[in-house]
Amino acid sequence: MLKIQNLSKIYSEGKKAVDNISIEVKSGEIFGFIGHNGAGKTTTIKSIVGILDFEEGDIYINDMSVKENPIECKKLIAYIPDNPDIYEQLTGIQYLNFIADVYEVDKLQRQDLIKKYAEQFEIFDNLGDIISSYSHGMKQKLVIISALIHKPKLLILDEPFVGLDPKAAFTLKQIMEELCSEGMSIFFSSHVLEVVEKLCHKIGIIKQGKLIAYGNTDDIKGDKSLENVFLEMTKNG
Amino acid sequence: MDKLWILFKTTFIDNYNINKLFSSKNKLKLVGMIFLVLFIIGYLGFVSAIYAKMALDFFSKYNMQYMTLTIFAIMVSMSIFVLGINKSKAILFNSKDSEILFSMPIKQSTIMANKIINFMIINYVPVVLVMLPAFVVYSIYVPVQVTYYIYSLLILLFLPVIPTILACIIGYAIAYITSKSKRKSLAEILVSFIFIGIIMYMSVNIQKIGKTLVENNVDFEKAMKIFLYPIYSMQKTIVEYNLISMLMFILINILAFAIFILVFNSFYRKILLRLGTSWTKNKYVEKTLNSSSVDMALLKKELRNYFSIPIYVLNTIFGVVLLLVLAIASIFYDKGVIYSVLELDPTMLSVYQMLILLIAFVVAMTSSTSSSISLEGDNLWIIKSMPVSQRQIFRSKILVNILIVMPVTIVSIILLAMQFNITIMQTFKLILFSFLLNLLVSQFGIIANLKYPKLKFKSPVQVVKQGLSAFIAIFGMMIFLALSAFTYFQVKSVMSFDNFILCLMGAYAIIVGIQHLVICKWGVERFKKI
Repeated sequence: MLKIQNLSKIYSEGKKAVDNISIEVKSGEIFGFIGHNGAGKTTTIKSIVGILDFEEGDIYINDMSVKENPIECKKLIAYIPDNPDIYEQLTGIQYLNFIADVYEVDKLQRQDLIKKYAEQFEIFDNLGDIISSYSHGMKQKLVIISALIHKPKLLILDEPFVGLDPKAAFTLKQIMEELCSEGMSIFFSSHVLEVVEKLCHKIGIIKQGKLIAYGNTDDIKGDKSLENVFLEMTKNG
Repeated sequence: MDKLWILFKTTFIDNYNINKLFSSKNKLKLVGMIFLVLFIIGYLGFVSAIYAKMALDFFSKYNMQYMTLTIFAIMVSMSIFVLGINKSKAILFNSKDSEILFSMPIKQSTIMANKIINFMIINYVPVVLVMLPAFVVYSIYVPVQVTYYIYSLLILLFLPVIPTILACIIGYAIAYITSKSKRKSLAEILVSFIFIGIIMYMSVNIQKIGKTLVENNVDFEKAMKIFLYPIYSMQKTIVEYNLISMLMFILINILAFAIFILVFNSFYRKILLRLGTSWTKNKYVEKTLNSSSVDMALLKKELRNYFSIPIYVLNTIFGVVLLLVLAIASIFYDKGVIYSVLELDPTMLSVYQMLILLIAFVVAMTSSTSSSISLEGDNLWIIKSMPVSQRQIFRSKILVNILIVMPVTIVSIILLAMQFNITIMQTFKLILFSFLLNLLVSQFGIIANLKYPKLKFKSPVQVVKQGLSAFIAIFGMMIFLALSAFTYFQVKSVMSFDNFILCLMGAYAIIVGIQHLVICKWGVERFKKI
C-alpha cells in the first residue's frame, strides 16, 4: 500500500532532514515510526501526504507515485497532524461535513460514520458547538473522526495519542486494530513506545534523518523491551 | 469548481465568524452590533455620496458627468491595490490552514484561487462604501436607461479583481524575496517598505505624467485607454451603453484572474513551504547570560514580539517612518514642496500649525497597543501565568508604542523645527504635545483591545487589519482629532492657537489620568476574564 523508496528531503540551506530512507507498509499492516524530536519523522510524514516536496527518491501509494498523481494518492490517504490546527470558527459538524464533501463521501456513509465515531469518542453531543470552544483533546478527536469518515486505504498519524484521554486513546487503538483487520494500512509516529510495541507489526527507528532500524517488531526488539532497544540504538546524540 | 465552492463556503464561514454571529445568545447585543455596523456603513456611504455629488456638480459644468464614476473607480482601485499589498502576503502565505489543505485531494490552484477570492471579499468593502454611492448619485442626477443598473452591478462585481491581483503580485514578490532570507521578518519589513516607497515615487510621477498630458492637451481618454484600459472600458459602458465594452471589461478581469492563477500556481507551494520552514542548525555554545529586571524582560519580550510580525510593524510604523522621511526631505527641499506633498494651503496654516496637525495625525494613527493583547493569541497563558501584575503587562505594551513613536518623532520635530525656524519653546511644546497624545493613544489602544480581544486568528492580518479593537482605536482617534479641531474653530475668536494647544495638552493630560485609572481598575479585572 505504501512504498517509500530512497527518500531524501533537503531543505534549501542544505540541511538533509531525511536521508535515503526506504519503508514498505503492506495492506493490513500497522507501522510505527519512532525517533527523537527533530529526527525526521514529521518531515517524512509530510512528504508522504503531499505537504512537502522532496528531492530524491519516490513515494508510492497503491503503486501510484505521489509526485505524478498527487490528487489520486491523497484520495486514498487520511492524515492526522500532530497539532489539530483546524477551522476554529466552524462547528464540529460543519468541519466533518466539509471533509466529507472534499473526499466526496456519499450522504448515507457520512451520516453513519460520523455518528458511529463521534459516539465512540463521546463528542457526538458537541458536534453543533463551535470548534474554538473545544478542548485540545476534543479537537484531536474531531480530526481523528474526520480522517476516518472517508474510509481511507492508508491512515497516516503524527503523534495521534497526544492530548487524548485514556479512554479515547484506548478507543483509537481499538479502531486502528479493527480497520487493519479490514485491510487498511496505518503509518504512525509516536513517542509512546509501549503502544508502538503492542500495536505495530513493523517499526522503523529514525535518527538524524537516517533509518537505523527497520523490520518486524519482534525481530527488532528480540527479547528486550522496545524502550531498551530504542534507547540503546539512539544513545550518543 | 465544485471543490472551490466547498472550500470557499467553509473558509468564508470560518474567516468571518458567521457561526458566532448567528449563534449569539445575546440577541439584543447582536441587533445592536448589526445596527452599529449598518450605521457606520450608512454614514460612510453618505459621506461618499456627498463627495460624488460634489464631483458630479463639477463635471456637469463640462458636460462630463460620467467622469465622476471614472474618478471614483480609479480611487477605489488604487486604495484596494495599496492597502492590499501587506494583506495579500499575509492572506496568501501566512494562513494556518495551508498544511491541512495540501494533504487533501484538492488542486493547488483551487487552494490558491480560494485564498484570492476570500481576499477579494474584503476588497468589496471600499467598493460598497465608495463606488456604490457614486453609482446611485449618478443615477439620481443623470437620466439613465434600465441597462445602467445591470451594468453597474456587473462593474461593482468585477471592479476589485485587477487591483487585488496586482496587490497579490507585489505580495508574491515580497514573499519570494523574503523566503530566501534567514531573517524573514526583518527582510519582509524592509522589502515592503522598499516596494511601498517605489509605489509612492511612481504615483508622484504619474501625477507629473498626468500634468504633462494636460499641459500638452493630450486627450485624457486616450491616456486612460493606454494606462487604464479596464477603467476606460467601464467608462465606455456607462457613457455609450456599449455591451461590447461591458463584455471586454468582464473578460479582462476574468483573464487577469485566470492568468495569475496559472502563472503563480507553479511556485506557490514552494514559497509557502520555504516561508514555513525552520529548523535547528547551530550548536549552542554556552555563554554568560545577561539578566534583566522583570519590567525590562517584559519590555524586551514585547519588542521581540512586535518586530517578529511584519504586518504589525508595517501597519503601525508607517506614519512614523513617513514623518522621518519628510523631516529629512525638508533639509533638501523648500517649504513649498513640503506643503504641496501634504496638500496643505500655506495661506490657511502657519508652519507651526501644520506641524501640530501633521504630528497629531501621525501619532494618533500609530497604535500598536490596540492589537498587542490579541496577538498574544494561544500564548496568552504565558503572561497570565507569570508572577507579574497586570499593570506591569499593560505598561510593557504601552512602552512599546512609546518607543516606536517618540524617538523618531523627536528627531523629526527637531529636524523640521531647524528647517522651518520654529522657536525652541514651540519645539518643546511640539514634543510635549506628541508625547501626551502618544500616551493617550497607547492607553486607548489597550482599553479597546481589552474590551474586544481577538485571540483566535489564522493570520495576524485578521487582528491588525480586521480586528474590531484596531478599528476602534484608529476611528476613535480620528473622531478625537476631529473634535479637537472642531473645538479650535469654536474658540479661535477668543483664544490664540498657542493658548489653545496649551489647553488641549491640559485636556490630554486629564484624559491620560482618567484612562490610567480605567486601566488599573477595569482593565485589570477585564484582563483576568480574557
